[in-house]
Amino acid sequence: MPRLQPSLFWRARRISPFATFLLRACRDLQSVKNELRWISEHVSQAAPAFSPRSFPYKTRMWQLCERRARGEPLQYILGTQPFGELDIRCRPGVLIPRWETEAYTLELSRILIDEISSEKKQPMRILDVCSGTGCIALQLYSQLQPSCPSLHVRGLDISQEAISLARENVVHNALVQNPGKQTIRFLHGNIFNPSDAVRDALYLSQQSDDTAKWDLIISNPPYVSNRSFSRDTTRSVRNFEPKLALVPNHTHNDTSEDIFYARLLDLSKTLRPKRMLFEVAGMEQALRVVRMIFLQQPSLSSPAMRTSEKGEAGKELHRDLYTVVQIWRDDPSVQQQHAARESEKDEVVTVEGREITVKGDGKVRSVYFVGGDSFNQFGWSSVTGRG
Amino acid sequence: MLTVAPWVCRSCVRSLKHAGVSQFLRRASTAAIPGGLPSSLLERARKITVEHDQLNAELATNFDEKIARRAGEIAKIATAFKDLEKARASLTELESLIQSDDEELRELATDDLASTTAELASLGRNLSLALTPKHPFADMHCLLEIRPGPGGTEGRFFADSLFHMYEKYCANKGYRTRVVKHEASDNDGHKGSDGEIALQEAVLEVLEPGAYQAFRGEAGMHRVQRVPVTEVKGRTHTSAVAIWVLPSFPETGGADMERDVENPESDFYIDPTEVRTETMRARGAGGQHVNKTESAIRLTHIPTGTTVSMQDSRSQSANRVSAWRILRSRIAQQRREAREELARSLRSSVLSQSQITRGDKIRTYNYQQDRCTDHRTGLDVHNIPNVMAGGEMLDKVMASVQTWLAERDVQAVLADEEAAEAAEGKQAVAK
Repeated sequence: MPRLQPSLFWRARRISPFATFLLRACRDLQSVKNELRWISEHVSQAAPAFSPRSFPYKTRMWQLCERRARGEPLQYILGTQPFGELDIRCRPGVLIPRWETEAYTLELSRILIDEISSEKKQPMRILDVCSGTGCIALQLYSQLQPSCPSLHVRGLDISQEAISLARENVVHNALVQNPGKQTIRFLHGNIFNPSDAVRDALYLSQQSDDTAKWDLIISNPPYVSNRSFSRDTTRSVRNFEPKLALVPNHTHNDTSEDIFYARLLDLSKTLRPKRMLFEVAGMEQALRVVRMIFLQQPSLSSPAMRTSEKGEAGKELHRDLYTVVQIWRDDPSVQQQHAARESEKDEVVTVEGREITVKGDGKVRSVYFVGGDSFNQFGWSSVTGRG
Repeated sequence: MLTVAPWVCRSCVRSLKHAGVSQFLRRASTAAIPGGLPSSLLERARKITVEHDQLNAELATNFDEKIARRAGEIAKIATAFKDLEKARASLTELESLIQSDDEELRELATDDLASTTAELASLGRNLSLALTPKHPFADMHCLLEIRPGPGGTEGRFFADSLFHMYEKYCANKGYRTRVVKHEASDNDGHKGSDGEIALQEAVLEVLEPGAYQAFRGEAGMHRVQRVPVTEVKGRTHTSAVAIWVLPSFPETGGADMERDVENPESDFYIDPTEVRTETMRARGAGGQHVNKTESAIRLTHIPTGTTVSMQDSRSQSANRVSAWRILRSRIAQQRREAREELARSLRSSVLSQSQITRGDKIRTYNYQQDRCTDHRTGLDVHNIPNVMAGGEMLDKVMASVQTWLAERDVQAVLADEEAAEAAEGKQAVAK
């Protein structure tokens, strides 16, 4: 990190004595001022009886600013992070919701609302794998609730801490549930090694309707590679956020960062969800995921099987199973504003002979795909012989 | 005779030749009118009443839907005017009765006089309501944008004072408000005399239908004359603060409001492709790799070059929503002003000269003399602390501006009608 100029500290000192603390974490005056305002708002909200000049107030400010100076994320210090219209509680041990996640979740809920109005009124089922604070599940639930009379959202996470925080967040945001009609639940479980309860939930075995399917499987899984974790992550992420939520299988050093996508795609062969959306780290990973979708190359299976599935006929079939395959950037709703982009046409990349639309502006953030009719009717069982 | 005249300084004689007296007179525009109404209004009302009678006469002989509709439109004004005329006639009668010799009659007349005067006032109000053209944004909520003029910290401090003045005024009036933006400037942490901060820009939203009408007159440059806290030699400084009043949509607007935003004909419509959005992008990979708190967003409307930046909220989407609202309001106001400008250029030059535009100073707050002057109405009020606390003194000033605005609107309508008549006359001559 480049050294901060001493004059910057003097200027921060003139704003407030606490600003010098914050400067160590924020590194520029504008964000120092914003964070100082948010912290003082938080303190005066927590203890409205104390004036900003009183001793207890200043002590509290000092404590919080010092924690921030050590690099602790502001969201852990204040305990919340706004996410769309919701206020999500955050606690050490659970990943903080990112604004990129917020952007694609909002875009997705817009798409879903459009489709609900065109489709018949039928139960909407949404599965959020690796739900963390529950932000995605809660956001979709609150957005879809008014237009969707029958809505079932499930969150799944391996961390018990995350599950209890997500349940807290349901209460904190005062989301209304309607038993049997509109529900949101969070389950503790491992997607690689599901317990019976998790398996039942995943395969919708409790449903009376045999044709019940997930309308959407969405996931923000750990996707940072070990190498990237030590090189690209910022200090506050590395030191304060759970590695469990960032790096897949963080205890072993040999597994790929794409392992979650492989597992989810593997599950999708039997679950046959209508839509899927995965958050990814960047263009490279997005292309890897798209290729994986087309080849349905189960990384977990044997190399022999991999070669057999790479057959030309199989590839064709898999490629056309999906009506929509898109790569979304950070801001999927806005038009791209690169100087290079002059034509009205959407940006495309070609993967395995198929053109993939790249939507939005910013860095590549997620992969969105919708299963076609053949996928939903016959599904993978008829194609691959799996059940 | 010349020799008898006293000695007069030559420069004084010369100044008399230029009739420079008018420069010492304040341009007070509220003339004394019977029934508390501006003469221009009465003139217009009289014209309309004559027209109404003509139309009625025509309708009696042959019915035409078009004429009937027009007659219906102006019937309200005509009846209001006739009532007013009746009341005024009875008032003059009463006044003559008071002069009479009969004591009993005189007593009766005095009794009646009070009630007739009150009636006259209410009738006058009715008429002016019926006549005043309504501003298209009048029913809307409004955004008050406060920005210090060029210059030092003093202007910034005063901008903060004005912000609090309007906030308190709304509280006194019982209007709901919301601080959309309150941004301190960069340079230092000094505080003003009342603990004001150096303001960079502030936006206050008044959540009250009709707020735009109430605050419309506040737009313009507000000048302050006082000795700043930072001044060591005790000199009076003059600085200025610009206030813009923008119409805004209620957040949970009705269906027609929503449609208005989507409708390309509407002033509030903005083509999303014409707006460039900039966010503070974190360096590096983004996503799970970084955890930034910056939520700043900047929108630029490319055709007009209008920019709005917001960073007050921790949520970027919330910042985006308010930035869009402000951008919409600003663009709508710009379009409206452009249209008004066009209309003004068509009118007679005399009227357009008396026009006060955004750049003109409209009010002076002089702390040393404890005085607040509105330059449009020429109204002086004292008790600056009460004005700055948004008290009844400020209310008085704002009310006087309201009547001034209403009168100006009527004048504009009259001028438009005259121009239309002149054009018609020309056409007739050409034929």
